[in-house]
Amino acid sequence: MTCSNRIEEIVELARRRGNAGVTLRAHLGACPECASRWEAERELSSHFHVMKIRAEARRPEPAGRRASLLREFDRMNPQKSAGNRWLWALSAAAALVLMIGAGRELGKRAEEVVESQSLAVDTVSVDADGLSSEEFIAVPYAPPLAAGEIVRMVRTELDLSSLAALGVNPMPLASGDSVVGDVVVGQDGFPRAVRFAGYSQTSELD
Amino acid sequence: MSLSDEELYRLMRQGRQDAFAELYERREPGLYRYALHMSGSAVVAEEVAHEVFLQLMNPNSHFDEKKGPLEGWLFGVARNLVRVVRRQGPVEQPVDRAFHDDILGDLISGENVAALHRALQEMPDRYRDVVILCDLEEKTYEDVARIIGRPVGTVRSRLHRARALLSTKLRWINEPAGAGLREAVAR
Repeated sequence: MTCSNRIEEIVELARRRGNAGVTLRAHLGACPECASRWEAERELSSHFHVMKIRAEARRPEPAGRRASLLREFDRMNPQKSAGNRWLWALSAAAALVLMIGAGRELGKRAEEVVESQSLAVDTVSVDADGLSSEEFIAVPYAPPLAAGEIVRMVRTELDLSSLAALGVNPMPLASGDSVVGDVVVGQDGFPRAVRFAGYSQTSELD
Repeated sequence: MSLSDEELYRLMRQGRQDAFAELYERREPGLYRYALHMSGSAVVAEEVAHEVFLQLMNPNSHFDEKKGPLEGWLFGVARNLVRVVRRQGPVEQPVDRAFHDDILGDLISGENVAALHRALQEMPDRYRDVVILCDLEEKTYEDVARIIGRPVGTVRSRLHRARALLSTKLRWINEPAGAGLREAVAR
């Protein structure tokens, strides 16, 4: 094996910071040029090792950068993030409606308060209009309800701007028109779902 | 079993912030070190590492996993950014100064490391790239070949050539005649 072949072996061995085998040691003993290169390469690898460790140790805390990137990520993926929130809100509203539909009468047209924990044992008859999960429209971005949370149902007139504020617009409404709706409100005061009960008397929609 | 970079990338594209955060945790330190050694500035390294991830999350980013792994793409972006910065002129806070500040208790080794860093900065980009990626980031020849877009054989020969140049420079500094240079490095 020539010295040029040995050089490649020397460099690669030094890079791995390994020890010379018997054959290489014999060659190094007989070839001062290769021995010198071997020492130089080993020294170089040792310095690189120190440099690497120091660069890692001197790493500044990137937490601020990380947080800024994550915020930017959310900003660039608004629909996807909103989609997740929509799923949460829809799940919460569906669970609520299923509980209500299991045995709770909601025919009262005035404001009423129900406690979700007691719904299963109530035996009040369901309103003639019936109540199904399809009737309620989840309010987007609403936080999910906690288990056992007391909800309030409020019947009220909803105009175009109120519907827009809730993030729902299920029917064409002209400016100034309004509908009557049942709004499910959580303990925190945020609406969770809306059901439409009919057009208000002032509405002129056909 | 952890997900590959490419799997995380696909999840990230679906809007999964946790996948993006995982990619950041996994790849940012190496990109930072690479930019640090290439630019010689911690400030530039921070900016470059940050910008790489901004480009990654950009809907118009051109990563195509059919052309190679994500890691190679990330380093390729970092490499281009560092080149742009270097073309703009000298950068502040040289890292060799930082090394020097850290090594007063270990003078001989410190001199060598500072000198090595300086020698590295003076090398042509094509050599510095392979030294940093192969010997400081400990990437395989195949990975580096993908990052720099050259054959494996070219990477190997450039690395061997670069190491020979660096060894020669270090030897020269360590010889008695290089005492003046050692003092300059220590300053």
